[in-house]
Amino acid sequence: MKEINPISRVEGLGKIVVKETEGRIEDLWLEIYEAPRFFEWLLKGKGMDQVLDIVPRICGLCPVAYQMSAVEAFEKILNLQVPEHIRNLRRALYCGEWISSHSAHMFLLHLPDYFNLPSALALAKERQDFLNMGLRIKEAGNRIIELIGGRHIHPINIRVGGFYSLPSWKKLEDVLKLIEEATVLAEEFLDFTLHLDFPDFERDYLFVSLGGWEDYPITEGKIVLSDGSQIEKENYEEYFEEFQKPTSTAMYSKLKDGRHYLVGAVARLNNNYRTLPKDIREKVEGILPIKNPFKSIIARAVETLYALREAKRLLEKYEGGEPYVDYELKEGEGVGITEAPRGILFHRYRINREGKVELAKIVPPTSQNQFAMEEDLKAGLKVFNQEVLALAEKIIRNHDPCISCASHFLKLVRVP
Amino acid sequence: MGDRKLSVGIFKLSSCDGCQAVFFEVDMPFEVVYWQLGKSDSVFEDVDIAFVEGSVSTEEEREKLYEIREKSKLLVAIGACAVSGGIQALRNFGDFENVLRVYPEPNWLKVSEKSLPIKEVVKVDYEIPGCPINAQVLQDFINAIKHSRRPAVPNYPLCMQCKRLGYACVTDLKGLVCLGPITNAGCGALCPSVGRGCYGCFGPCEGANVKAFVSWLKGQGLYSREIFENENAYAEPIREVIQ
Repeated sequence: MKEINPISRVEGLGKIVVKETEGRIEDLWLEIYEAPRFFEWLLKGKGMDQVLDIVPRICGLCPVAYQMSAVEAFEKILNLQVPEHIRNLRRALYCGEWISSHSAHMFLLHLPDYFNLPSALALAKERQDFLNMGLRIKEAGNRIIELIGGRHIHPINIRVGGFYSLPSWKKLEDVLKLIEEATVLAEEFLDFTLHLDFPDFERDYLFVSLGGWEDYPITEGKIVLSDGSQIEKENYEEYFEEFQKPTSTAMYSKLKDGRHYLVGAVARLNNNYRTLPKDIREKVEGILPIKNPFKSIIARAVETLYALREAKRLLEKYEGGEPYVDYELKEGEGVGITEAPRGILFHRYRINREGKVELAKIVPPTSQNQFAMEEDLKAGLKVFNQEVLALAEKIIRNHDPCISCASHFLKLVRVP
Repeated sequence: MGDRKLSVGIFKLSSCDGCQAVFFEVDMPFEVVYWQLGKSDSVFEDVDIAFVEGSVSTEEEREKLYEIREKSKLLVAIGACAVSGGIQALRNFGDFENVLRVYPEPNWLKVSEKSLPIKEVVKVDYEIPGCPINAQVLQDFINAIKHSRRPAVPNYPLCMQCKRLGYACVTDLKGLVCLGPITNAGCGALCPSVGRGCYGCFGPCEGANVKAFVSWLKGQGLYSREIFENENAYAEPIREVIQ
């Protein structure tokens, strides 16, 4: 047995195990060994607003997603409708996270692979312009999150019913300027990704995302599958189930009929490109659906450009208002599903009459992609034969796994 | 140290990666030789400075931390997990059997009963608190080392930073619980800036009299245990009052 350990330039700790017989690779698979942190236990008994301060700590790269899935579930339980200006600010906030997370992955983790270099710093020695471009786009995303959420890692301004306070006009103007500069760069980068050389590798994925909505979905719509079926958010658990393998501290996920599936930027783009603005759509229409995971960088570039424009549109029409709406406590159970940068993020809570959590269940996107990532490795072995080792890390990195997220919700852990 | 660039390793134990992500935002004058998140050509060798994110919550992590200590001249704990055990250290106050019961097969878990701050396992030279750490505080720390100055990480109460920034006191004005008087400065008084009380993600400041603070809260009828059930609940002065 050989190992690629740890897999580098991905969030969290995992390894690829290679089984060899007489120098020939027979099989390879993914093992996630990040320690569990028992969030489902420690959320019990906490009030809803405290949950919104705790769940971002599951992931330092996509904290907003955790807050947004949780707040959606809580507001469903409370039957609370928030006004349009709060919905718009939340969407702009979420755009900020897509921009920040996607640009971190594209420029700092993923792009060096297309130049066969080991890091963004090594790439910067050849192409300093890429590092500058990436950091400026990421900065725009960070500043959007700070404007609305107060801090870009683990925002402090999110509460049930809205926000603790609303952004100031002065800061908003400054952020709009940064967005405009970043938009030019993001457009340039999207054009660049369209002309990259990609390894010849296609897979027949089932793509799962939110969709069936008039705009590109972030928190809106139903769950849509690329086979044409649609599922209401609250019925998620009727169709999807988690299962465990002895080799991973993260749960796997599959459809109850046995099919594995892919979530994330590629799935969202394939399922929803018709809702994109015409000029962005025209750039990519010809290469869709994306079935080559090495092309995921194109999907992230599309979404980064879209999110910058969408954040600008939403912030420009901001007119202020009340920071939050009041509500009365109610017991009940509710589901929230939103599009984290890495794909759909499921939360379900049961809340008692005092507004405290009695039950919490969370299924992060990387758990859902674990099955597909492993299938990619096995397919990679067939296509690339013995060359697969050189590509194995890249095959995993294509999906931007977020391992800290994935390993915190396991029902079963590694068999001794 | 001559002209040689100092070497740096950035390591992770049980954590969310949020603190090491802050390294993407600072100017790093040193040579990073180990960083699983940032580079594929990492070498686990002797380093001048090891930055360690995350708490010690498995036996493997304990072993890894011993090795990091052995290989580093200066070991710096970064973030609430490394400094206080993190949000996952809330399990230290629970009945472990009960914690494990979330899982159908608790015997299969390879995880320690407690999530520990790294200073309870090895000697730590500096601590940079926060959940996450603040980019400016990290930059100041790096600059100090670069110029052979002794790093000064803020260790005074958040109230001082809050006053300097001119924010109205949310306890005086609104009667809200605010952990500012006992919490490290460094975040920029973010919570008071949006009109809510500090919830303590930078951990107890030097000399924090948590017992006195708790009895004051009780006198005001504001106390509940939940207030302290945060990322730094297992920091010593807080641990004592909620145990």
